[in-house]
Amino acid sequence: MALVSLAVVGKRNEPLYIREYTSESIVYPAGDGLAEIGLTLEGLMSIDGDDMNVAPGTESCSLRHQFILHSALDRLEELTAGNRWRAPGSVGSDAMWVGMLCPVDELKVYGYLTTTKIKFLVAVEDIFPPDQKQQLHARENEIKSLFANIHALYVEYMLNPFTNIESSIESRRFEEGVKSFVDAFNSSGLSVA
Amino acid sequence: MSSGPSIGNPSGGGVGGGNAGTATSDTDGGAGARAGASAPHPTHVSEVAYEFLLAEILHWVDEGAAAATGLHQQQQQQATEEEGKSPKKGKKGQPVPPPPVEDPRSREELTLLSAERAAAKVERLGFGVGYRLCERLAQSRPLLGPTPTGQGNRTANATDSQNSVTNGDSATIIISPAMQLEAVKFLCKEFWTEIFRKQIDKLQTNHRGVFVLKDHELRWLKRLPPDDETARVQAIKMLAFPCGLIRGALANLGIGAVVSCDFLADGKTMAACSFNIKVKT
Repeated sequence: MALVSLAVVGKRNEPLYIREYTSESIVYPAGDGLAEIGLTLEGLMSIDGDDMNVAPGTESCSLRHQFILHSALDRLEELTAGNRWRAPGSVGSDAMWVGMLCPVDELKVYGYLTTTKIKFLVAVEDIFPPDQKQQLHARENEIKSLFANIHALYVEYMLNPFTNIESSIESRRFEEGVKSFVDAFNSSGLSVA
Repeated sequence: MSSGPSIGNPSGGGVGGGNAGTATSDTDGGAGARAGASAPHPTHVSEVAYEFLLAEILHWVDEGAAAATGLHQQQQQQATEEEGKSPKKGKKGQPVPPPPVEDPRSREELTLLSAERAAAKVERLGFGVGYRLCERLAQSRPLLGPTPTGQGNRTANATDSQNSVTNGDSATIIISPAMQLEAVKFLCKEFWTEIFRKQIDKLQTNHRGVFVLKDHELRWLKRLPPDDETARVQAIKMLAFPCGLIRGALANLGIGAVVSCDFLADGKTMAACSFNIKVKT
């Protein structure tokens, strides 16, 4: 249950923050040409060459994941166009949870939309067989709380008057906070069979 | 200030830690600052401190605008008229400032220009604050949840995308009047309460994108003497900031608007004012 990549998208669907958190265990399907291109570019960009493991200091997200998140964005817009997608009576961060957007290969993308039209997207490895409902449910709850935490971090970032409105997020505090939440999420998954 | 505010409590400590400009004090308005000694204690700033700060902001902005429009240089030139030199040679024996570009403008025009510049700057400051504050206040509050049954029947017949219609490029989203009203109500209640500890007194709309918000007693103007001309001028300058606040908050909710302000001042109080919001379509 590894969180693979994460994106914060602004009001006009411009990316504010995209990161990926791959580990060596992910094996891309053989015939996936995009993956090779993505890896090559990533190798050029990242500091330690052609290492598939993205070192914490490098800021890159492979093209494949960017593409996946971008297409999930379309689905998110479809879902939220009507304003009746919220579960009735939900409050707070539950009301902003959109849910699973689309499954792509071995990943599932989840979405979250704030009142101020900021979207959070998360691509998670899909290792549960579809009949294990409660594990799926448990994981969704974890993702919900992850979104709530990232939202809180984003609000704190925005409250800083020295940040530029509607520009990409460049804050060490935000990065470290998100990284720690993602790590907590990933490590909690290992205990699940 | 010690870092106290808890994240999950937007209406309390969070504001105190984030925006020093709009922090609210705990009990009464005149309470002094109280630093949190233990770690999770939210910190507070006295409300009155912001009124002092606002007065200084206006002064600073005026100075900056006057310098930028060359008002001071004109004064300097008029003072050294006996030299008979053109402003291009102003560097001889004169302090630093570069020669003004628009020389033939009259003194009055420059004064007006600098006043406008100052007001625009204050409004821009308000925009930034309103934008960020709205982010915080909207953190746990979704606008316009599923409508209750009365309205629900009406909207059930309309298409699903009644509340927001996206254009092809999805860069411009048109917000329906119902959503606009919700956003302005949020502004009048939560937003205004957070800043001024009271709600807007009267909201009027023509349901076609124009809203009038009336506040009978704006806290920052309360202390101005009524019927004083200089006080009136100052009050108008001060009102640019709440205009910016409103514009920033609406911008963050996705509603572009133009906000202007008016005085409702009668002889008794200087603090009654109204804000006109015109949504851009």
